[in-house]
Amino acid sequence: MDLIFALSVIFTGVVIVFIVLIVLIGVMMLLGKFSGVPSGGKPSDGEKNAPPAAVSAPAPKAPPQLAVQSGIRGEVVAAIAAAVSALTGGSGKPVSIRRTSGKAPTGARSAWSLAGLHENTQPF
Amino acid sequence: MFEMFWSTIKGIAVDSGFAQITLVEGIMLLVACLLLYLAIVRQFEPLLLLPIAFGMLLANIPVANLNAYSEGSLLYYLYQGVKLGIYPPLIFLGIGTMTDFGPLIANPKSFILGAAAQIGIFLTFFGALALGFTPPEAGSIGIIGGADGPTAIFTTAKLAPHLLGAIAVAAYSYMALVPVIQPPIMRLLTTKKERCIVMEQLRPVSRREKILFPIIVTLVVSFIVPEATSLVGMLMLGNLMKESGVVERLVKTASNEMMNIVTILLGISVGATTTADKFLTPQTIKIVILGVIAFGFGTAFGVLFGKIMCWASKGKINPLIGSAGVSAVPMAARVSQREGQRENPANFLLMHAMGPNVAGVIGSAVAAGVLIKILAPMVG
Repeated sequence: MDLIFALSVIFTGVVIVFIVLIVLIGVMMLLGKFSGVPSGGKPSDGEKNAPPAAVSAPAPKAPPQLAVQSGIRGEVVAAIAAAVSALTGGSGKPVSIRRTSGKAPTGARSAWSLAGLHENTQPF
Repeated sequence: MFEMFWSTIKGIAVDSGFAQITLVEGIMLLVACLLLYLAIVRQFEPLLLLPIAFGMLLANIPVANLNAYSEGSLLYYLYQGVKLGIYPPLIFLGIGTMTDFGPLIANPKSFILGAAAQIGIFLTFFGALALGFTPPEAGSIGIIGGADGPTAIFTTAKLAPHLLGAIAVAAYSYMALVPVIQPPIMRLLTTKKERCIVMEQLRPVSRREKILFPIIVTLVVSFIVPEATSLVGMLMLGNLMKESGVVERLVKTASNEMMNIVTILLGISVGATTTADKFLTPQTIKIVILGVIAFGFGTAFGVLFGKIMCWASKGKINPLIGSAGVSAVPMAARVSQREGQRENPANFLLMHAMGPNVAGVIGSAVAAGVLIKILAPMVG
């Protein structure tokens, strides 16, 4: 094995790969700056008109923890939160949800069915 | 009449594969069946390993003369797409339409990790030379460390086509084993504190940046390493088609029908090169060993550079994303995500790891271009 040749190929290859990718880093950083969205920074005024590309997160950020009394089903919480949001035009968020009566409803009716029944009978 | 009948039967029997099969062909048929098992049952990169394995099966059927070297046969003509360097760039075109370079554009420093992981290619080149391979052969074996199937096939077809079968089988098998090979190296080279680092959310990337990116990358890479133009150019063309949003039909075709057709043709052609005399050699065993070393080095250097960047950024970068610099997209990024979540279940590294992961695709194509430039004149 020609050691000098081997080392020169390794050195040349690694250096060229790094040079190319470092040049690309520089160009992309400049592009980000001129696009008004520098790397790691916030969008500037220059990019107001450009539609921000959504960077999908691996999972949505958890909403602020809602205090829910035990025994209340998830679909009931979802329905209440949606109702609050609809009534407040999206600005309101429930902080805690608890049952006004003492015991959780039992029986064959599902939470949705009970909610519908409650809504329809509330005026009376 | 009966005499003619018996003589015809005898003639068929003597000329049949049962009478003509040799031991090595039998072994190759068994190897093909093993690879089919890995592809179908264990799901080792089945999209390519299955056609490769079946191509191997066809190439080793006695008397059929259906392999890449039998002029006039079907597989000989299909193989021309590999030999002339047509299929791998077309695969890259399809990959480009399915790749989102947003995480890389949002954090261009990920390019460094993509470059670092390619060091494994050159160190494996050294190891292959030490084991007695010629420089072009060593370059083809080293490119396995790029963890990029089309790049490995493209490079090997130019530098050492007689090793194509062994290198392709090794490359795709190890790509399927990324979740097994990488984690021990990642844990060995990082501390628990480093693995728990939570990274800041990436900035949003504008559509303009996503459209300019493929054009800029093509120009920069092609000007510096012209030999990488076909691979990087097709990758970026696919991506530009996707990001422009004005050629939906072409994107749909490139990412589905075209990709599938070329995958089949590429796989079966590569498999057709694995005749017994080319595959059952001591060189194949060395290639298999060097392949895993290449993967290991690539992962190790990616993580080490991740540690350097972690130190330079005062703890803002999780070194685990460095291992995603090998271009096994998106498997390597998922491994970084999984290893990060093992230490901190609230840690989401996937999109951060996608930056180095796609940077590695570009990096391995550049490394291939450099190897072809230096070593192609030495091909006998």
